[in-house]
Amino acid sequence: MGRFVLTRLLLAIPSLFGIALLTFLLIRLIPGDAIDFRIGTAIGLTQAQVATLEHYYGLDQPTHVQFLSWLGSLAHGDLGISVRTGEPVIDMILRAAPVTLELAIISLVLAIGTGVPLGTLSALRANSKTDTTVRVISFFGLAVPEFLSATVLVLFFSTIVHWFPNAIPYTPIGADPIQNLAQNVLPAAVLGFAVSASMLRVTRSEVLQVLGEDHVRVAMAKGLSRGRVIARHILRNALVPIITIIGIMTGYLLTGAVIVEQIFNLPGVGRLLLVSILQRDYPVVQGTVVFISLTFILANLAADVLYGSADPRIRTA
Amino acid sequence: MALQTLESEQPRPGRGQRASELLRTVASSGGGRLAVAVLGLYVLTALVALALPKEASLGIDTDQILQGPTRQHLFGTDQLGRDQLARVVEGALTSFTIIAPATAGALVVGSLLGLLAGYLGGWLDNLVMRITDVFFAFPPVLLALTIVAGMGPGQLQLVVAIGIVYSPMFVRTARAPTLQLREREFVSASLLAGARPFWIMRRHILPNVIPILIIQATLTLGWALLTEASLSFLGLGVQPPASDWGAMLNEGRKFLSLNPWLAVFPGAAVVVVVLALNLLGDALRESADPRQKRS
Amino acid sequence: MTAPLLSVRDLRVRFARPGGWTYAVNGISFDLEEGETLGFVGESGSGKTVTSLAITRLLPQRGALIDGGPVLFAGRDILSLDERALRRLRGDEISMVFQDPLTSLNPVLTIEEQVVESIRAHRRVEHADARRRAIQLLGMVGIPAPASQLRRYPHHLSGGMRQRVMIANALALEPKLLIADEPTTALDVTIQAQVLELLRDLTSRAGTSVILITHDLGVIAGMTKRVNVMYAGYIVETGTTRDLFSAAAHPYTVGLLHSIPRVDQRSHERLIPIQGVPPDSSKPTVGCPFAPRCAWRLPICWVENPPLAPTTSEAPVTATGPAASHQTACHNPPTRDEASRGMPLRPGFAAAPSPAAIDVSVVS
Repeated sequence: MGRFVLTRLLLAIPSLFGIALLTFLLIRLIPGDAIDFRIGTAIGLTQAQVATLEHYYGLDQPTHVQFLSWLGSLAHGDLGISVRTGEPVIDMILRAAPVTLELAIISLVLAIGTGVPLGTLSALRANSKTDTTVRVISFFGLAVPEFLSATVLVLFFSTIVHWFPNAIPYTPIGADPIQNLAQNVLPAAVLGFAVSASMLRVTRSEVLQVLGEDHVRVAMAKGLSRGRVIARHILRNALVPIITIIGIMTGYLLTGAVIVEQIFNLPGVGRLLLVSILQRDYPVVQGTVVFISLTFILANLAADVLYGSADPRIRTA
Repeated sequence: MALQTLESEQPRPGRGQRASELLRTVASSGGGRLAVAVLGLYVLTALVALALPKEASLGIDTDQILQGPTRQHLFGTDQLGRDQLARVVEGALTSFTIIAPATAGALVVGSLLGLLAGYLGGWLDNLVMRITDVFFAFPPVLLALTIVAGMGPGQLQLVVAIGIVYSPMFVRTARAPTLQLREREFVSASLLAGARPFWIMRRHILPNVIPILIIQATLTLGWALLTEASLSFLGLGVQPPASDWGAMLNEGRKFLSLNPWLAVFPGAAVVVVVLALNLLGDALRESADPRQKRS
Repeated sequence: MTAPLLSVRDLRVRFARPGGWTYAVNGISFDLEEGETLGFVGESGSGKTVTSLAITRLLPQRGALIDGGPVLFAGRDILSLDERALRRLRGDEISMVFQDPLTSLNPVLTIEEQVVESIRAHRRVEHADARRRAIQLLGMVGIPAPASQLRRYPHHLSGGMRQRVMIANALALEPKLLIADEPTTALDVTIQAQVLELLRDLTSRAGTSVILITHDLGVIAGMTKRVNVMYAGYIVETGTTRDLFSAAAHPYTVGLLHSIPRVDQRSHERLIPIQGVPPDSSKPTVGCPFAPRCAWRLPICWVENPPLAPTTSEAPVTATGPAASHQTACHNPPTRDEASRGMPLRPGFAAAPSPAAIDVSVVS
């Protein structure tokens, strides 16, 4: 088992490297001056000043050297300085991260808590009315984009219920848990709905597949109770592939968070990214993208490891 | 002469046969027919938009701002008095001109790479797989965001961004069956007869991979639309005053309490088209592999 | 004469299909004594597996309809038992062993977990005690170093080992009846013999009644004392194994015996495959189901489905045991000589043509 984890860790390293490279290159695509990139404007600078700045920022070095020095700073946790505020990017990210993390956790719990049981029910009662209803709802869940469901929810709650959770500035969970949860409920519901639809579909098809397998019939032939058969022989087997989906869903959540944080005014990493893009604050953009991708890779890694611990056949591979 | 004999021993079905098989099965399923009808409507609307005069959507009418649906303006008007129906119709064109080329590009580039990687193997395969793995490490919308962040907002940039984001999927979709087909007897037979690799890829492997690619393309169109609408919603895609469903929803957000219809029509349009694409993709998938009744 | 352990009367099973039914089992009746090994032989689709699943009520709840009955096991009608009583029966008094040992075992649970589960489902014992019993059982089925095998997963074991585990599972609680459905078909030929011998050994020692389902006549010959031959959902012949092999009394059985190569065949004798295909199970049968393929058929065979009747007119009919009556469902059973030659031997006899050529009103 330990070897399995180690192998997975090692395999993740090229991905990390690739992401760093990709992010670095993407930002370089920006038309316009590199100094513009660094300090926000290049207007009104003399040639000498530009040259000094270029030297200061290391921009006169060849690209691969720049990349390596950037990698070096990354390794030290130095993600640069915001062009707008001068604040170290890493600080901005660390301030925004808990917000997004909380949102993601609540959404994930909601999604798994609704998607998996409903998917299982759907599969056990395949082709019944319950099944069809559930599947139609989940079908919508996949097609409705977060920005739409979020907008509709905001509309509904502000006009009909007269509840304006956005109007109050964000309250961290330490300060006032009730207020904090109230502010998280709607955005988590939006994110959770989309993810839950995927979880439902995957759970349903996995459970259906397991239902058709011989060992389920054998379990029944042994005289085990229905509950035991479902828990130990059906769910236990079906959940294994579902775990890998959770890794991918994290990616969904992270990107959905961008939209949801924008609409519901949550100062999370997604909002940070968006604002920094709109404000052309490229160091922040770069740092945030790397951070989010790192989280995604770690989540997938965790899912992989969980998968390995759940399905013994994978471990020997 | 030897190649001529091989012609008669073509693996069945050929390209045309497979595609029409798919079509026939879609036509026979209720969901498939509905989906095709809706998508037909979508394309038709986009074409209609081409014929619309500019004033229809850009015409500002300050007398009639923020109206709900009326006889004059079937979908209502926005804060500038612009007719929403015209804007939604134009939005169909905008979205189509983004997602269609983007998906087509992703399909062509991705499947070409996947086919080559799968068939030729070796260092090429390894390289392609490493690169796609890195791309898969990014959540797609995030990647698109980053690309757009680098390139700046705009329609063309969206096409490129979406195309790049969804290419890796096609690489994988094309590579997997290629790996399997490569080992089949009819390929070995062709090789023995002296056929060159490109000929084999074109004649033997491609026809078998195309149905799967079609299914993937249908689903990708749906994802592309969602990505495009999301990015435009965030202000990073289509810029005002151009009509785009996602952007319209963003603009409408500020006036939601005054005219909720501003959000309804563009939102519904996105949902309907994506639903239709998903339905179609599912119907196609069922016909390709009837064992896998997924939805 | 004690009552038989299992007594099945007029069992009928059909499956729902879009547009109608599939008739899988069409009214079969048989008995099984304690300690007897009864074979069921027939091709795929003959209804033998469905019969065994119907007896244990393991058919899918939706889509499978069981009519007829009763199915009396130790005096109780299985078909009318409630869920809980049924569960108590399964695994404890009636066990099953299925064909494919790989898919029969849960891949994500250890051997220990699965064997212990069988035990603790019906006995209030501590895990440690169940574990000890599991080790004993694994040893009994011939698995070397049983204690260390417990910790392993199914995919670590070979096919033969896995099937032994299945047998251990099935015999853990010393059931009265063991139903083995093609237990060795998925195994290598060399392992097959070992597993079969194990099965015979264990069941005869414990006095377990066995229903052995197979398409392999060799297995029937080696393992059973009595056989039911099934075709198209009917039992077409029944009797002792010896009677069957020495004097098959149904054209289908004759066909089966002659379509496999035998060591004692003379070298110039040809194999005679049975012409035609099994009937369409989506329609109820008219007349004898084997008629279209039968070389002995008479005009009446197209019209009337013959019931099982003894081959000799001895009375009374014995259903079970070593002196079981030899019965066949045939209007024109092959003679002993015809059975060993594999074809009708009466001069001038030709199988009756199909009904299109007959005026059916003539047959009363």
